[in-house]
Amino acid sequence: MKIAVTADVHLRSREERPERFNALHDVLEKTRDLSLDALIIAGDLFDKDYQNYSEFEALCREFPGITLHIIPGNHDPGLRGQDIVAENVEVYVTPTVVELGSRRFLFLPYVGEKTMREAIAEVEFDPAEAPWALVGHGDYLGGTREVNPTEPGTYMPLMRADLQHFRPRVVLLGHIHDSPAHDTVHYTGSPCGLDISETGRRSFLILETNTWELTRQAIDTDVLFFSERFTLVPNEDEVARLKTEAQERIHSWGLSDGEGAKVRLRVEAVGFALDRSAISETLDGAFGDFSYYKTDGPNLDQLSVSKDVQLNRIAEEVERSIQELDYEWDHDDPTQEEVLLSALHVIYGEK
Amino acid sequence: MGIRIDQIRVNRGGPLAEDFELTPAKLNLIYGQNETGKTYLIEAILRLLFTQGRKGDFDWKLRNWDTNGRILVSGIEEGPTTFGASGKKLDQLLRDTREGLSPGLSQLLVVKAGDAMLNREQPDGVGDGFLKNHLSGEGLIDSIARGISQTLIDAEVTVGIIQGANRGEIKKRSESKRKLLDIDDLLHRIDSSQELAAVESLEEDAENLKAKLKDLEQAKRFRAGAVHRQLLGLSAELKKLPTKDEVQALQHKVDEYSSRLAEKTGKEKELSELEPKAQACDWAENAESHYSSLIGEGPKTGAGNIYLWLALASFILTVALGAMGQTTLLLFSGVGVLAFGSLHVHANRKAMKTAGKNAELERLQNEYQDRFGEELTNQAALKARVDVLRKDRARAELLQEGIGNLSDKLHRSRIEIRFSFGNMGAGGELEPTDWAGALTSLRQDLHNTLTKIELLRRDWDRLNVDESQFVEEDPGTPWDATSQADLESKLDETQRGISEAQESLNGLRGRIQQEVKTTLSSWSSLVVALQEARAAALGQYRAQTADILAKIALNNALDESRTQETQRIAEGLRREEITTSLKAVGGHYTSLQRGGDGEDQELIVVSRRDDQVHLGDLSTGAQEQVFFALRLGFASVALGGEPAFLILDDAFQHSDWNRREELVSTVHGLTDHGWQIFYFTMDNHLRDLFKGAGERDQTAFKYHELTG
Repeated sequence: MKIAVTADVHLRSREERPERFNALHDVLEKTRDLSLDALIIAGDLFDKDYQNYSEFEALCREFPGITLHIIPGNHDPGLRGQDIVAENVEVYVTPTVVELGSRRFLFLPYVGEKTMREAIAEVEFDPAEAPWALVGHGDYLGGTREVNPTEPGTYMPLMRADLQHFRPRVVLLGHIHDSPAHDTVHYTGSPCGLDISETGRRSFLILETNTWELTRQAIDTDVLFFSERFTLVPNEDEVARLKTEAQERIHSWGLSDGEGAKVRLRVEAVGFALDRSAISETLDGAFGDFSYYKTDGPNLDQLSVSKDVQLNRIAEEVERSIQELDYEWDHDDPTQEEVLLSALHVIYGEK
Repeated sequence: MGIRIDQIRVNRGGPLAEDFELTPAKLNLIYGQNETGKTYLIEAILRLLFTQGRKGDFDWKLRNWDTNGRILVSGIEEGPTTFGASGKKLDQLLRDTREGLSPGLSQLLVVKAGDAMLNREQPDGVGDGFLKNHLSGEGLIDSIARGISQTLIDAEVTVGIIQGANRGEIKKRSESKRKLLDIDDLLHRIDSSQELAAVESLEEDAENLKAKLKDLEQAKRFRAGAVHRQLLGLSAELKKLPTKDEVQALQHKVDEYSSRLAEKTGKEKELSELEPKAQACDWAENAESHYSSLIGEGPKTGAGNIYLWLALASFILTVALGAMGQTTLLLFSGVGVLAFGSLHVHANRKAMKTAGKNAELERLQNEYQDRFGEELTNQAALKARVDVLRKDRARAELLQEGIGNLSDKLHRSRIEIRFSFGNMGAGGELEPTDWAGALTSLRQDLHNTLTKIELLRRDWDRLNVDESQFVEEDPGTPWDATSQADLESKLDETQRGISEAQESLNGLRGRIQQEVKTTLSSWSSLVVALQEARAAALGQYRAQTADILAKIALNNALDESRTQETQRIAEGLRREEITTSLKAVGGHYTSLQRGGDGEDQELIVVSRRDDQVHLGDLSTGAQEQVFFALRLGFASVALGGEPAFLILDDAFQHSDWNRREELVSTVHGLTDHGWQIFYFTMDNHLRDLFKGAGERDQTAFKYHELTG
């Protein structure tokens, strides 16, 4: 049996946030098209303080063949089963073991000030009896080394030791809107980017219960957020180079025909250039087909002009030298762009 | 058009007695004797136009005068630019707007205190640094390189890592990395801590055990209340039952009664056997007296006399006992008086009747035969018989008396025993045959009650609950000491496990608190604190790594540039701006080159005849001429051929009069090429030379005399 999994939809009214509704609609539509009959929503189905469920119920009725298994998240902790009258919706407000596809799924609703271990320990079931899957909403410390910038703090943490203790075969979590995977822990990610910090194409998970194999299915969203930053060094060819790089970035988005209109964009140029207006024009030209997110165009606040031939020559040398560094960049290291910016500040002084 | 000063205003101060104001022309001569404020004026212009101090390109060693004023300069931006005491200076503005402007512009445009050399501290008056700045860009490289520490100059990136001495930036980065790793280690330890998992699980177990123990404690208190009530009931019941001693005493009485009854029965049996003999004794005594009379002998009155004496003795005894108050014995003694008296009378009567009657003898002998189964042959035999029978009769009489006494005692005992049974609740009408059963029953009741009390007391002692802690309501959990012991044992074991795990975790907690400098103790808050500390440490580490990698890469790039230094300087010295200036000023020397090796290289001027002279070896006057030419040439190079202003403070002071004329003429000629000249002097000869040159075009000349 295959089961679809998503989380962090953060529904508000359709009028207020149509793209979120449409993203969930697409998830349900694809779930139906793939002949799956279950969709798990691992918390934060609804946005904070939003309790109008009628539009969601209407959506569920459109897909009577799909049972939605929902747990409350930290944004909708008060969600109750009786709040939603659609027949094909199950809301688990207490830790509940449910058999799906001959496999045991432990649905663990979000409870503030509690760890997942504590919540699991309260459930009367034997984890060792048969393979099982955990569905929860919170932070997996084994994969979280950094503060979540949008929601600082620790939410219903799950620890590596818990995995060793309870040994679930797969853990499906909501809360982190990105979609990282660590060990057996998988974040499904939000089906629709909520803002410019959630960039790129979104997807949901499909779990094959026989093999516990997980695959991703892309979601056709109304909005695609992208944020591009260009670090520039003054150069006679700076415009041509920027044009090429901008085209490469756009190509990497993998847009299909007609998707350009969905793009909400943030573009920033930093560093130094010979001609600021030419840079501005180039970026305007390259990204002119797309809509900007909360701005009218590229942000050049951190871009300075230098006509000093000698300094610019040194800056070019440094750019090349940085690229040639025999350095193993790891996840804690700065990016090459950050190193270049640092070098530019030494060359040109703080601007 | 070039860079021109349109107006100078310097407020009075120091030796400058009045505000200095000048709207300059192309050629400007400021004349003043000593102490008229000439130096003050020049230093004020330097401060207004050029960056001084650490940020400046050149240390002019200005005096500590508080100068102020305003200078308007055109040719930098659209419209004139005003320079005051604060704000951006000319050199900064030019660097921002002119490509490749070298540092040290003020060195080129200003000669102060007649010092024509470009750098007095260098043997050739110029120095490598100056040449690098203005000809090769190497000065710029050095300037940038000054932002790179020796630690990073010596460092390199190889095999994927930064390698360098553990000091400065590298040491700080290592410390940040270590901090980051420490934090990661702590996060990992929390994340994979079995102790933490165990503690939480054990704490939950402990809570469950405590809850069960609490239920049991309630059950215990409830049980204690119940036991207490039962004990009170049994104690009340016990009070109604006889004590063991009382039962024992009663048993003793019953035993005594039984013993007396048995004694009485035995005596009655013996008496029943003796009674015929007593009756036979009476007959035999009669027969004896009668027999005696019948056989001719007078009746023997011996027995009668004995009775008489016995009666008398009994009487005396009776009187004595009466005097002593012995009532019972008195009674017996009285009976004895009557009995012996009767017997005496009776014995005498018999003896009278039988005497002389032979028929009676035969009848008597026959009866004797019948009674005793032997023939009466003589009186002695009869007498012997009577003696025997008399003993039996006396015995019977004693028995009779004993039986009477026992009957009395038995009666009293029975009453007393029945009373006791009645008191003990066993019934007051019990027959002696029931007494044993009743005693057994009493004993059993007492034993049962005491046993119950004992058992309850033991229970009570084990419960050890104060009355104030009794619980009235049944908690629903039955009290079970074994379960309590078992649960307590498990709780002890669990808490030991918690303590051991916590001991290990306390170490971890302490390390985290120390690492993030917090007093928070909950694990979730410590995780957040660690994540925040990691974010800060990571930011620092990334910035430090970016800085180090940037500077190593920059140093590599600068090294690459340095390899082209010599060639660039040599090419620079051959630049047209410099050779043209040399030729224009004096005309004797036509080119410039470097001589010597390595760092000892010095500048050499080459004459038209290819004579090569070290710059330092020229005469002072010749040096003034050459340095003025070089100043002009380097300034043209620096400004890309654009003319500017020159401020010359007695720059030609040391030249001979012929050279002065040439120099003044050359300077004046420069104004035709867009240069603006400000010449400050206290020398009348030079004043006159300039005045003479200026008079040729009055509109292009301004003269200002400082009066002090």
